[in-house]
Amino acid sequence: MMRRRGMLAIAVASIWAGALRAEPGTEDALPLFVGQSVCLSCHGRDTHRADELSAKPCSAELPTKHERSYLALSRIEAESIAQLSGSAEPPTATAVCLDCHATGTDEGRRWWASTFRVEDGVQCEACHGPGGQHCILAIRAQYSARNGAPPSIDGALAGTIRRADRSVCIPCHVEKPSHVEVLRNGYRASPIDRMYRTPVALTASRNGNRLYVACERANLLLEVGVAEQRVLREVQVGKRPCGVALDHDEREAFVADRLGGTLTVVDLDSFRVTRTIPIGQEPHAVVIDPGSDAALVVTTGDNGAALVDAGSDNPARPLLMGSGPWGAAIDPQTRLAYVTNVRPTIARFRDAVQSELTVIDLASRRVHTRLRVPEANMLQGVAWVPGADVAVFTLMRTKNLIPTSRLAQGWVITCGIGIAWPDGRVDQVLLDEPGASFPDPMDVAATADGRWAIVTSGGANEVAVVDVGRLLGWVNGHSDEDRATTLPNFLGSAAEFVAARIPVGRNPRGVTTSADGRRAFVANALDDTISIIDLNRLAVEGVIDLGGPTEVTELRRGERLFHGAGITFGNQFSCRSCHPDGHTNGLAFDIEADGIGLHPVDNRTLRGIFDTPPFKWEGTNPTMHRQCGPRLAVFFTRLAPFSPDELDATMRYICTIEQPPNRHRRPEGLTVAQRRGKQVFERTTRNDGTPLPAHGQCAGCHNGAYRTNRQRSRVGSTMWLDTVLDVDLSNLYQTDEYGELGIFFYADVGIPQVAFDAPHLRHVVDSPPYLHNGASPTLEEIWTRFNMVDDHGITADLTRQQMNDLIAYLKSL
Amino acid sequence: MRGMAQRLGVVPHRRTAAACFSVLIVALQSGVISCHKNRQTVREAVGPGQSASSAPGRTLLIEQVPLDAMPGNSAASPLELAPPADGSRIIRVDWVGGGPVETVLTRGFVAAGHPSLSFDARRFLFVGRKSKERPDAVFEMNADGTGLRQVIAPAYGCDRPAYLSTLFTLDAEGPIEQIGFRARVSKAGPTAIVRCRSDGTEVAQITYAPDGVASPLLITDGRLLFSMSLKGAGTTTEPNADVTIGLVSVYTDGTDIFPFNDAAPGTIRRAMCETNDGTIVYAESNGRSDQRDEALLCTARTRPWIMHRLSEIPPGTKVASVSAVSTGQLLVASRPSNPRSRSTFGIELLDRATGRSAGVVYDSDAWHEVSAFAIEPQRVPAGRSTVVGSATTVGQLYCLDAYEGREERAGSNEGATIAGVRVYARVDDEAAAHIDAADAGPAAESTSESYHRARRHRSREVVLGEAMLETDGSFFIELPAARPIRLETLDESGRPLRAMGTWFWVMPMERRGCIGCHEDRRLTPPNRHVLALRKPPQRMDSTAGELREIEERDDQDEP
Repeated sequence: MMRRRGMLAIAVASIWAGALRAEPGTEDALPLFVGQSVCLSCHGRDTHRADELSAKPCSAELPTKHERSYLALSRIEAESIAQLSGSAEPPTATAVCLDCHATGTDEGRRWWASTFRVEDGVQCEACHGPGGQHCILAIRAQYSARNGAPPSIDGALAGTIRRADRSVCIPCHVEKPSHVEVLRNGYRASPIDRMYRTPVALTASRNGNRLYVACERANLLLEVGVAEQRVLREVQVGKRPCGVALDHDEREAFVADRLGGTLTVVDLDSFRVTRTIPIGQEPHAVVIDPGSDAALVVTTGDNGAALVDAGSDNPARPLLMGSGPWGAAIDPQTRLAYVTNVRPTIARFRDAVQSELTVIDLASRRVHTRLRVPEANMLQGVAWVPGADVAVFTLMRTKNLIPTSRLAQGWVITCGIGIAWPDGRVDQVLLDEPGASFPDPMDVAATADGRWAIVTSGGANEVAVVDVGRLLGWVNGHSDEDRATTLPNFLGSAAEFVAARIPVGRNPRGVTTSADGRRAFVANALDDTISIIDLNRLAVEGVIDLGGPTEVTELRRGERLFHGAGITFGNQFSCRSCHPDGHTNGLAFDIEADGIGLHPVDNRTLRGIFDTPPFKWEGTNPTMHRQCGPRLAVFFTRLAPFSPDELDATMRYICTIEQPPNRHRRPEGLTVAQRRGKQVFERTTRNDGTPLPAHGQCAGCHNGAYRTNRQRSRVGSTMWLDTVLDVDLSNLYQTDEYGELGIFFYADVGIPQVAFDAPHLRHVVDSPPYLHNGASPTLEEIWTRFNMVDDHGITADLTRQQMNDLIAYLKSL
Repeated sequence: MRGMAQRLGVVPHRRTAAACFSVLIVALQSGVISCHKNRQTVREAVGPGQSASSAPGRTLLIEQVPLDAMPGNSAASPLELAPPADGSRIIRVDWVGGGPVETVLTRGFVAAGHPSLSFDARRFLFVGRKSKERPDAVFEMNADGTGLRQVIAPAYGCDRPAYLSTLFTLDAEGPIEQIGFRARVSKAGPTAIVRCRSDGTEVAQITYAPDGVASPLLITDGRLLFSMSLKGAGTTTEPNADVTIGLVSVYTDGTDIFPFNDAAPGTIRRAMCETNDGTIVYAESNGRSDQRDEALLCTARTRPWIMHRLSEIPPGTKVASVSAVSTGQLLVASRPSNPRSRSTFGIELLDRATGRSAGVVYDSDAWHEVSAFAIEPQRVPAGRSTVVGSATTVGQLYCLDAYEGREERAGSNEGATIAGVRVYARVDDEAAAHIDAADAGPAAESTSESYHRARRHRSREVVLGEAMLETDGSFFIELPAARPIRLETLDESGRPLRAMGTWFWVMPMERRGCIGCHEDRRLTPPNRHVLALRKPPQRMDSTAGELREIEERDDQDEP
């Protein structure tokens, strides 16, 4: 009895201490996790006493496997499972692992009492909810009982604990493909996979003798001797470096670490890291302002661009770019920086998207202009062309509003470059030719004399050498109307200004030129080499091996297949074309399989999807092999399907695509708002106390580690174009009669709603737009605009505060 | 010794080939074209004791036609079947020990021709006739003459067999190996390209040109090039008419028919081969069919609108076939206009880039050599995954903007506004065709005139329906699959504005899209959610109403 009281007292003390840390007035509603030792001090079979509180003994056998579940994360197999779950972290730091192998990790350590031990695995509170409030009431009851008062708070005590039934267990106890693959089929992550260099970006020293290469997979910065044709030095930098720049004195190299969220500064004399500067979410490119020597870093994950002054360890307040800033180039005369954005601006339902080329005035440190690039997406590489005084950037023009029923004539995706003129005009021309596309243009570099612009095609393993003079002449030779409407869609342009298409290594990404304009250097990401292009002969002069493993693992082979456009007719696109970095391009497509003109479906991320079958919004593909094998071939690529080995390899790679860190989640755990939002997410009653049916609860469908029950549900989200209707839809946006996109129509007319697969919610904040057809630009609008029928969870009674909290929690997932 | 060789089918080196073989050897080995390489070079290249079969590129597969069976009869339409003439044969020529050794591979056949090598060069297809009473059939044989097997014997004749790339469907366990050939699919019907599994099963027609097709050629991107009548649809039933027969492409499932490049009016184009740098070589003849003057043209597969002529082909040269060699050169089966230089068709080596001849490789005085292939592996063309299936008999067509490329948008064509589209189809009247063919008799049927007469009675043009155009110029129709279709734009009064000059078709389950009625093939579609796709397709179904038979028309328009 003394021990029990002792544990309870410690727990309560801890809870009060925790409450002091929390925002005022929140502690009652947001209980802490106390740990199973506290729970068992009253409810254990051996510790249980028929006392004044009549605490019921736990029916579970102890110790159970649940106690050892956290330890399982330390087993060698766990690392492979985490890898197949798309985690870049060890299993003990991976949310989807911890969600089923531990307790209270979603809330985070901020919400743990001092008695709580995460090492105890799946504890009582995993099913019954955090017991902090329950403990406080129990202590009060004990004191009351000791003082002779009747135990009048039994009901309140019970009300602080969630009744656990089978539905609580099932989400974690479903069969997970990742576990089957490792524990049953024996898959193990290969150490070789970590040894590939994967060069993705590079820059050359002014004298052209040295190259500095950011190697994404190996987390290295390499110094490469051009004359020596080998790696001279290497240094470990942050996680997944993907941008590099030198300061003007060439004393330091600045490396943008995409998953590390840092800017690593390397001293070029010693070739050691001197500083690591936290910079933002997914820093992707870095350039140096010639006027101030400040480093401009664009951060894809939080749509920002931050300037770090020379010698400073603190970035200035970031500027807001477009959506997914990716590359940057500076006009040294005007000190205007041109920043590409990889994701398009979200458009109205079934309208064409446009992208933004953001221009920053480095002198004033303000956004100068936001240039619109109509019907374009995936703006990536950008270069300033000296002499021509234009910025040239890569782009794709994805035809997501047209049925994907054929491939000829650039029917699905076209690729090219954009030209930003000093007056703000933007032109677009294609690098594709009929039957010979230039897929996945990734980067562009211009020679110092402005004669050539070299563009890499990650999908075709080629570079295009563009004669800038002829390019500008070709564009200027057309009328305004042709420049606006014809040239962006014309496959005959490239023949006018592309001097050569030169085969290089696998998946060329970054490109740079020597200061004398005689050479271009191309980083071939997936064979760990640098191609040296002789710009006089327009031919490859040499190849530098960066020293990665010679063995090609299954995962590496899959990565090559994923990034190669050889799978489609005319090399039109690769998997990566719609899934940059394994994510999504944010577009909704009209796929042929379900009828053309109908059923537009939002492109879903590939990150962390292995354990979330079935696939497709309709949930009709039970495995990824089905989704990416026959179906991909018949409805998308239209060439021969992957061979079984190729398919296995591609699947392996897709499973391992890494999730970036969640910028909305603090290391210590959920914020108070997020925690409140979680309560809304898991609520089982309305605000008036009436019970919610299971289908009206968020967690009814979005449960388990991935927040999906892997089932199809009708959630009142059926809209125009989801079924064949005899309704005039010439104006999709008329809301008078049937609400937003006909959301009331189905309820009114009684036509059955369409059932959709419950998507997983991990990193859901990163993949707008939302709903099956991408109609909702934001998470909020899922409920404020498209849940008028109150079937997508019962949310009509939520207060504004509750809705904000719910959104805050969803962003933390 | 000679008797033994003949029994074995090995005929010792004779005649003019001796003077020519060195050119081929050197060119194939080194890629350098020269007529003046000496025999010493050749001996070194071949090497004593080396078997020909182990040295790909040194062996040719040659089709020979008797002198009295004139190949490439200019009076016949290229759209008609041209089975091997009696006595035709296929030989293999190895250069061993400094001289060519010929092996007849098709002994036992009354006629054999149209050889086509497999991509790995281990087998070849050909059309053969075992006896005069038996129909032409597609056979397969190993390149060394062993392993003969009949693949398929179509009922109404066939020619031009070829290996196709693999085909895959959602129902298939894996990609299907298939072959294709040209055949007449009914007794008096036009020729069509037909595919089947490599074992001869699952036969499917993949072209539906009402006047027939010619010269199928599978190119490395997986498309099938062939020739068909491009202009004056419905008017080419007259023999020797001044027709335009141009190059068209489809995939091997029959979908996505599309003109490959523009052909000048009155020209006839036949696809010949694709070189390993992606150059398509084709023959073009001008003028009336009995006065054809043939030229070889080249175009990049990716830039088909830019073409150049192989300039050093002398005028009047008759070209029977062209094949590509891995060195980038061409083996041309031709006969010069000057009979003093060569009186028969022979095999000449040509530089693709310059068009310059590197000399005659093989020519026999006793035979016409009408095709030759270097027995060497070729790049495997891309396979095809298809939605085409047998679950339905209809396909769909959507047009994004019928005004695309038209003057009506600007109001310059008498201010015409396109209000709708009329859909025509060719339908067969099999009963009439059979009667006609029977009246004409089997002998007469083979002549061009009777063939066309039979077809004129057999085929009718009917209106399937009229589709309304949306205000943005789009329309979306569902129409019978596997049938020649053409469209006609209509004004608000229902009067025709313009008519397609070219027939097309959709395959079952195909959802064919087009940018506009007069789209430039270099144009890609604008990214627009058109109005027509917001509603179900308008059904153009002949069973929905009375077929309206149309008189033979003579209006013409560009395709």
